[in-house]
Amino acid sequence: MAVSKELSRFTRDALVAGKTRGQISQALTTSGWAASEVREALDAWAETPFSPPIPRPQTTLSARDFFVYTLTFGVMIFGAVCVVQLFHALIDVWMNDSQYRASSRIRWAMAVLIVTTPVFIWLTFRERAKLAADPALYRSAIRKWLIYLTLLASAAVLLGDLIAVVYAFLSGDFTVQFLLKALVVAVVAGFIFVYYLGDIRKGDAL
Amino acid sequence: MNRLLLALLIAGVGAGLIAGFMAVGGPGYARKERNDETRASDLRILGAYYRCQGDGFHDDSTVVERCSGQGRKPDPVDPVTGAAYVVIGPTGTRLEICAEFETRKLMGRTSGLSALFFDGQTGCVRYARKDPTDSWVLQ
Repeated sequence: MAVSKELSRFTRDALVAGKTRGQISQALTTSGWAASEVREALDAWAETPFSPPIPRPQTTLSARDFFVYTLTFGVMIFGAVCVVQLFHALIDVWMNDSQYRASSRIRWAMAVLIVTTPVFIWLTFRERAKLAADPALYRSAIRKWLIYLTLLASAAVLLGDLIAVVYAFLSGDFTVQFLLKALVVAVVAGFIFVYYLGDIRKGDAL
Repeated sequence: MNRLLLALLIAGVGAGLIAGFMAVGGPGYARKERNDETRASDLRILGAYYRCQGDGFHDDSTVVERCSGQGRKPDPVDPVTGAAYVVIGPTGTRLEICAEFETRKLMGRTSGLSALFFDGQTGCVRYARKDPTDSWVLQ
């Protein structure tokens, strides 16, 4: 939730006037501001006797971040879908001993992966180097949003995969081929979930 | 942790690509598969032509309708090697058109309208009928 300009200005003026955080909190609460809004308004300023009050770092939003992170996540999702397609087609070939229908699926997935994997790795290493040099980039709002959206999508895929396995089991359609395909989906979605969970935790720790 | 996961990603995708190449072959094999698709298509077109020839384009309106566009004989030659397709029939109850295929891909087509019969690398479309007055049936 963003702090309103009026509330932010009031909090700053009150801190400059020498009011304590308790006094400011009480005055705002009495005036009808919600506890979460009051806490957020006060958290925006560092707790230090230094005057004027020092603002805490805020999340950033830039066109460059939009370009880099949207490209990275787009390439990653496209590639992940094709990894699943590739392994599903390979399982079909392996289990049915027939490549009649699988050939075009395999070639398409391979073409996508040959392009997207190096691009994803290059973008990721490049971004990691930038984050290491300037940890302020961890505050990118677009980066956080895309990571949380990816976590949401991968968690949804994992749950859907599990539901599909249970449903197949209950319906009597549970085969080795189905199990292997479900396992591929789980591994890919689980990999993405764990990878970006570690990423967001690292950013939060800084 | 994330470095390990990235290494696993590269290994997994690399393994998938190698397995993919092993399963479907490279560009040369893909060209051979495409040539085989052309041959299979030619065999079906020739089959349709010879079936109509066998029926003699007589006055039966259903035959005339079915044979629409079959007035001109398709080229019975392999477009890659230039070798002539082998045509057996139409003699009475049997019609078979064969070509030499380069890959095993179409050997999986054992049913439906695009089914082919293979003996080694020789693939054929086969039609049969119980009586010379019956219609041809794809085998």
